[in-house]
Amino acid sequence: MTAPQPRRGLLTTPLRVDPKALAPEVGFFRYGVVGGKVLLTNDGGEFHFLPTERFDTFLRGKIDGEERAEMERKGFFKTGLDIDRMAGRIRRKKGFLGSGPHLHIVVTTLRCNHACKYCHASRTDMDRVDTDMSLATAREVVEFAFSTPSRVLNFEFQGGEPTANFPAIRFIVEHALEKNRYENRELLFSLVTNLTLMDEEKMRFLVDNGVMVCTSLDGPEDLHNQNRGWIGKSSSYQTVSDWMERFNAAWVDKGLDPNLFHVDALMTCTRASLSRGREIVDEYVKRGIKSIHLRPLNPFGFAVNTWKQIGYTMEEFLTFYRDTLDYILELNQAGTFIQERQAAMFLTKMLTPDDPNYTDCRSPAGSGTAQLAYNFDGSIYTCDEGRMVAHMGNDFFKLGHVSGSSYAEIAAHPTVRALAVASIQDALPACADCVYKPTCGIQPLHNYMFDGDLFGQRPRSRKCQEFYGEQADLFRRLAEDTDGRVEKIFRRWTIQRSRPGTVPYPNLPFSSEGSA
Amino acid sequence: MTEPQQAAPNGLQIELGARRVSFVVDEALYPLDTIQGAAYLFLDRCYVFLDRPADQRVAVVLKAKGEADEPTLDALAGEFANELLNQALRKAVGASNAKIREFILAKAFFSVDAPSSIDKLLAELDAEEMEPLEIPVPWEKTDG
Amino acid sequence: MAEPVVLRYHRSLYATASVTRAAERFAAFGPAVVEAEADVLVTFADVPDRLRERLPDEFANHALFQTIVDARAEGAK
Repeated sequence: MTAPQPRRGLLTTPLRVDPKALAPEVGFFRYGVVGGKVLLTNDGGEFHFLPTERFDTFLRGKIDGEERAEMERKGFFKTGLDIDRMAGRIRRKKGFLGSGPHLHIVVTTLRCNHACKYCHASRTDMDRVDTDMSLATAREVVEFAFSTPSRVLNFEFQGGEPTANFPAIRFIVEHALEKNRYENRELLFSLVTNLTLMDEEKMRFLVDNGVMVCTSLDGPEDLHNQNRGWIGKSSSYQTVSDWMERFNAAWVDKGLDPNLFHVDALMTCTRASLSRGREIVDEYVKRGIKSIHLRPLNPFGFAVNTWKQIGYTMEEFLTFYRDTLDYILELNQAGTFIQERQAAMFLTKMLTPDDPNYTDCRSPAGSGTAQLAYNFDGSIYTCDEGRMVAHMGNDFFKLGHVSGSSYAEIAAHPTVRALAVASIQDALPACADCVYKPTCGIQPLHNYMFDGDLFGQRPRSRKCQEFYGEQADLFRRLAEDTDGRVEKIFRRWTIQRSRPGTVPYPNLPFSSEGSA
Repeated sequence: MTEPQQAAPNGLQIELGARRVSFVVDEALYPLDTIQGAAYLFLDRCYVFLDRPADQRVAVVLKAKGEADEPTLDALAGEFANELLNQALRKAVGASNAKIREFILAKAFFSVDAPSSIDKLLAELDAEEMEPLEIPVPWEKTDG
Repeated sequence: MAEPVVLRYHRSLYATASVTRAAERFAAFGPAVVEAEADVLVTFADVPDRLRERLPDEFANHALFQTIVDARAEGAK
């Protein structure tokens, strides 16, 4: 029998150091080993690679020449530190604070005609019209969203299958557009749908009113159908394919840029996906989709019961992630643009002064502050997962109701505060010291669902393992990128070309200016 | 229980037992928060017990969650000892930069940016004397 | 009735309040937390036989985890 091999810890640092060597002029930094080099990061989001043998030289303050100048510019030394620049970078990185919720998830119904193996949305059968959002509630949802301070309001329709209650979608879009004639916010609409209840009339409305469409596409036909069971039918893949093409053609007919206006797709990775990364990417490329999000499955909702069949360890997922990212980069180098969305999110934090404000990877977390979720009955939750927890019998993440609560009450709710406290990295062991702290974030709800605890235990936290592994892989690629080709591709992925927001009057031409 | 052995980094005397390895840390060298910082990072893969055999001494026991042979336990202790050093370095870096970080963060979140040139100009215009019709009068044209 | 499981932690290393909070998550085993001289004693009155060996290990990690998190939060104030 082979002796068990010692497993190096996720967060421990395989570097022997001498704390007494630290020179007073060395600035603040966090560090770790990646790609055979020492990676330094700091509060301003700057990073620097050092060969391991030069780390001691750095600690002693003996780095000189051009490298010294570069490290001083980045803020790794107190000498030459531009305090205003550093403060400005930090302020910009946290620029999302105080804006109010920009993402408003509206669950128009719990009814769904699918029974996906990994669904973690609460769902009901198609005859349960009592789980449809009424138009009166829909009106109150719009009124409430407009009472929040964010300049950008993104109404995202979810379910169940939201198109099962299309009148609510239509009403919200029309009422929001009407209200915006006086409010002049940046309005965005998006619909997350399985496309199987789509028809020409619905499509026309969505296209004419600037509602972007996002669907699920788990990969080639057999894989997609295996994961996503359409009740009473054999295949959703073909229907999804057909409607994706029709929508894309409709936007082109309107004279809109197909690079910006096309059906987006999301995939969920099950055990069956792990060996088929290339095929999944090829499926997306075949359809002209420029962005794929390699997302791991969470052991929540339906997946709790099917985990043995469809689940996997985070280590297995990260192997799939690295291999598939290898392939995506190969395609990019051969001239086919496709980005991996999780990587793009992290790379925006690594390579630009900005934060993409991805609500699930922020510190403090965006649940309840950057996003709110409105259930079909008008209840307000911190996020969609919070709504799911309520469906399982726990109302901890319920903040109020559209007809009885004010935004001030929601913003000051103890649960919102608890989520914020549980996601301040500087106050959390391991996170505070982690080399990836400047580019990472926390979703306390995942900790709660996984561990029963908002704070979570870092080395055990599945989300920590995922984020840590992904960032380690991206930094490794940068560390090994001797000719700069990978960084060039990565930087392309950080360029945001936003679709123009829906103008107050949908009949006017879209603005040529990008939205914020 | 086997005989005490020398651990590789910083001379910790380790003792090996069934599925466990233990050693004593001098708090004068590694304050409690560095021991805690290191211990936290091991909670996922072993059981960690702390005890106080004497003043300024912390006994650390790492117990494997499954079967573990001597090289594995030895490596675990070595990694813990290494992490103590890393925690101590982080603490030193933090202490050396505490004041300047506080200043920078205060500047980032609680200060106002220096006035822009437009703001400065507007402020200058506001400070000039105004005619009843609010037409600004250059200083050289006013009386006295 | 089976003997209760009694665990002992040094008060200078495990905060009583943190151990108590950790014990709340093990409520199914009937925990009681008291201070006795230099130690924090946790008595679990209702531990099934099959978990008697593993409970001390699992609880020790939770107690240490909570102590460290609370200490960190105190330091951040």
